[in-house]
Amino acid sequence: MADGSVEAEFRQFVAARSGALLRTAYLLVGDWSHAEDVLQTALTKTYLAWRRLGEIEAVEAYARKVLVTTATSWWRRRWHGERPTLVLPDRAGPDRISEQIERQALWRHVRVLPPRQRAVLVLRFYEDLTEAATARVLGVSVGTVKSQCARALSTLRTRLAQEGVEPAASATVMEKGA
Amino acid sequence: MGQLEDELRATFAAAVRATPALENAAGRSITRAAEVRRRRTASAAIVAMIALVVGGAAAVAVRDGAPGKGPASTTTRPMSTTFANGLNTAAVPPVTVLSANEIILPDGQTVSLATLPPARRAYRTGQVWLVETWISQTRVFALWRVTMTGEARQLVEGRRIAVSSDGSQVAWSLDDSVQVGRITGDTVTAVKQTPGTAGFGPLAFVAGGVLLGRTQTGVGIDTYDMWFPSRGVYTVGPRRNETTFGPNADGTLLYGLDDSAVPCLAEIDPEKFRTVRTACVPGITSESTVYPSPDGHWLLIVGSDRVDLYDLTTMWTRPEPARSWTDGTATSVVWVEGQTFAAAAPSGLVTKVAPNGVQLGFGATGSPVFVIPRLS
Repeated sequence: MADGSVEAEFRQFVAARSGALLRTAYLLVGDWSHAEDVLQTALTKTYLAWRRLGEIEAVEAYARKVLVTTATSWWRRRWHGERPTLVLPDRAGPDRISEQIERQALWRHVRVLPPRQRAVLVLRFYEDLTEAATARVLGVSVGTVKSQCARALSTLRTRLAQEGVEPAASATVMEKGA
Repeated sequence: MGQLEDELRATFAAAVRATPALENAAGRSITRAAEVRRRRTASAAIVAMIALVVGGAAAVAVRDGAPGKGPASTTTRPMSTTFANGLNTAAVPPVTVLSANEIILPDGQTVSLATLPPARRAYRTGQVWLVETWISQTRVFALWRVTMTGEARQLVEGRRIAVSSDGSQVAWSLDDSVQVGRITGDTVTAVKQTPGTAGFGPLAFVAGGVLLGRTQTGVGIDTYDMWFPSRGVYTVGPRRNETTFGPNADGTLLYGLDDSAVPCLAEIDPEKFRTVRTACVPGITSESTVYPSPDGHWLLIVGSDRVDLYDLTTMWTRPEPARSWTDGTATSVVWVEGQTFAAAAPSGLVTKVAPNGVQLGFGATGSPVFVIPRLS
């Protein structure tokens, strides 16, 4: 494959999928700037491997696997004094303040979960991957995915309960970004 | 499916609703891939070759596959440009900025940093710049002294770097220690150190000491300590969930109390980590960034989609913004000329603004910028 063709295809792939990958990266590392760094690393590795990846589905799966691997080893969060601009989860109206506070509490606790547990939650409940697909991305067994997921949910329940926060019974499941 | 799982879906969806725009992600990946290929080739070749790098200001160490750096000529940018969206604006921001490894002065002069690793931020101190670079693959920061003619000399490198507000000191972390030293010309002298561990490093100079961050959970900084090298005092801070925003102009620390029902801002005495006072200012979140003016009068709080200006003389008793800009955010902010600040938008557009909201000038480079503060 000629370099020009590879580059054009890669640019198309990035244009189509980088937004979705960036969102996943953010959920994995909790910081947009870090997420961009993680994504950039994943895309660079993907580009280097482009020639042997083949179809676009394989490319995306590869990029996602690299992204998750990079993110889960990316434990060093930037100090807030260095982070220039970031985005809050939600900006609710007055009637949703309670829901927003609960969601912020949940997000805060998700962010301090061990990276692997957090990755399992993101892949299962944001990417909507099956346990088997999650296991493939993380390179672990299905049993490990189940146990990590159970442990993470248990930790979240305990921590939320300690704060007196219960997940809203009428939680609205929002649409994922495109 | 359980209630918590549903709430997780909603939380994740809400967290990524406002995704920032990616700037040329494909182009940067292709460039980095080319660098990786070049390094791989160089690594193979270096087995058969020993390179001697002769010391001297014009011969800095080879970094990240880049060639040694000689004096770079300064050039001048065209004074206007038209962007893809048809916006015609000044191509030169009204303040000195760092953009795409180039320092751009308000008069259009540029200093190329092309042979340095990727530059993250820079400071003007006297007649030189201190430029902080970062190699993502190796996660190594470095601080360089760059002259007006573009001669660069590496001062230190480490896992994390902080520069004092007057540009006279630098602190950096190695794998097993944190060092602090005085910047004297193109060397660092009077170095002192304290033991440290991986992931442990200096964040800022505060009240004659160095604010250090470390992790107890392994998922990022969760504990802040203070080290006073001149007094040989080390204060272990409590483990907090709060966010540390940075030093205030009066030598206190600004913390975010995001464990309270609503996020609040706290002023902390760095000697004992005691809370002096708090203000629950609307709009501040754990993700905000704060920029106190050097005279201690104003505080800019930059959020995801807004910038609020607070009067620090009244904020602690009346936490209402003196002025708000709600139609965008800033990627970097610097106070210039006393009570004027310059803010860079994600697009690279830099606006110089007085506290009364009057725009004093704007310009754009066409790529993201870091506004360069002048240290004094």
